[in-house]
Amino acid sequence: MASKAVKIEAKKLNIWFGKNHVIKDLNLSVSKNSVTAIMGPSGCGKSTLIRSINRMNEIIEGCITKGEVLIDNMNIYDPKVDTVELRRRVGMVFQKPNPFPKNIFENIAYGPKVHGIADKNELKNIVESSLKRAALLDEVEDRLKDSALKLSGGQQQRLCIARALAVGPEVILMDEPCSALDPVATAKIEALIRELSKNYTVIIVTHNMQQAARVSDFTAFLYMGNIIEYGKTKKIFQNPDNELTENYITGRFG
Amino acid sequence: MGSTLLDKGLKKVGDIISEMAELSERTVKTSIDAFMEGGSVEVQVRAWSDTLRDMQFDLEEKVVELLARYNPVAGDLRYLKGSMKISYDLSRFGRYAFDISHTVDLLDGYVKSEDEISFIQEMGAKTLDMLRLSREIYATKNVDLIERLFDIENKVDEMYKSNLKRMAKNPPKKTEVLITTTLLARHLERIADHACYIAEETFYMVTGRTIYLQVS
Repeated sequence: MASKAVKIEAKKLNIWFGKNHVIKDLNLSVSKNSVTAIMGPSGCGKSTLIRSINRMNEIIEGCITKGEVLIDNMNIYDPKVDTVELRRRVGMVFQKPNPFPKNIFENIAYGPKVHGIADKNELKNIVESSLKRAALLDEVEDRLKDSALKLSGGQQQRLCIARALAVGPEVILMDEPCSALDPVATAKIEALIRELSKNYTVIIVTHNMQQAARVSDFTAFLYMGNIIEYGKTKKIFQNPDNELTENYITGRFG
Repeated sequence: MGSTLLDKGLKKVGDIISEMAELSERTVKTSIDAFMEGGSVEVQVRAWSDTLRDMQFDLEEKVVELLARYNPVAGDLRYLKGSMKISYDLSRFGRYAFDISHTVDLLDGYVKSEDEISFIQEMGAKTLDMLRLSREIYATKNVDLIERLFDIENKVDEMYKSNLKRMAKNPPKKTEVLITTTLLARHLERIADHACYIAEETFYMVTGRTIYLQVS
């Protein structure tokens, strides 16, 4: 699939929640430093799929995962893998912004502190560079001691992205990151996603097909736990190969 | 086609194209008939040509509205892009028909030779066949018919070129014959080209790929 190097590869991935077989024998290769959008109807397994990339599903009782997910050719489901370190490498941004009830500085510094960084200057540098990369520094640099909860929804979501960046991830997973935001805030996050893809591998789950068309390099259409079609976004939205994909993106589905 | 709001808009676009195709064919036929049978049709053909141009603008407005409102993708997007280009081709039919009727009116009054009449009659009949075929290809999306259309186009093209050579080598005694035959053949050849463009656009709509007539 990818012209760039492969960063993530799912091989024969199967995920069950109890008896519910959510992801079925799924194979997927994700290019390094690109944006890949996962789209599909509700309940098709989009969120489960991206949560499998940092092993977030296993905190849910009754979840069984079989198959492999490789990051840089290493299987993250190997029992020797440290999930704390894995989740440092694979950050996640959720549907609703979820800043900690702390000030802006502490929101960003929290992760690095957990990973053992105590030096104040180093923490200050990390906070500033993370906010800068999340395109938020200019708006908050004079009020780093203010509560993060005072920020607007769009600013809170960029804060959450900055928080994910602060621990030096390689992959950023985004689960409907703009669904709670207005169009102006959405446009800022989308521009940020494009910018981040220069240095990070981004996977975004979205119900908004135009958003997938705008921000992603590659798009996967997931349906009932199977990847129906996966390819360059331009191709998927102009001339998909699969009739099911065509029906879904043109709104003639179900 | 389904019943979404976009579907209703796509149907409207298809209806405008269908109406334009019917009017443009009538416009071209009327202008060719005027050459064969005599009589001035310039005013009528001009009015139809203007109507076709207005319909083209209406269709473009509709397409832009649908793009802005519904962000169509895939087959819907290709359909709208193709329809917009086809509306231009249909509008050009009207313009070339007007050019034919204008030439006929300007140079009216001379006695036409049998050769001249039979040449324009044959080329005109082929061109009208192409109009009908391109209309059918668009309406039915049967792209298998494109090969037949391209075959006729090659014949029309050959007629145009051989007429030019003939006129250069053995110019007719009457200058009116030289001018009328050459100009009308040129307009018919351009109409035939636009019929091919309609088929090419329809092929793109249906397959997402491009196809071009190989010039013989």
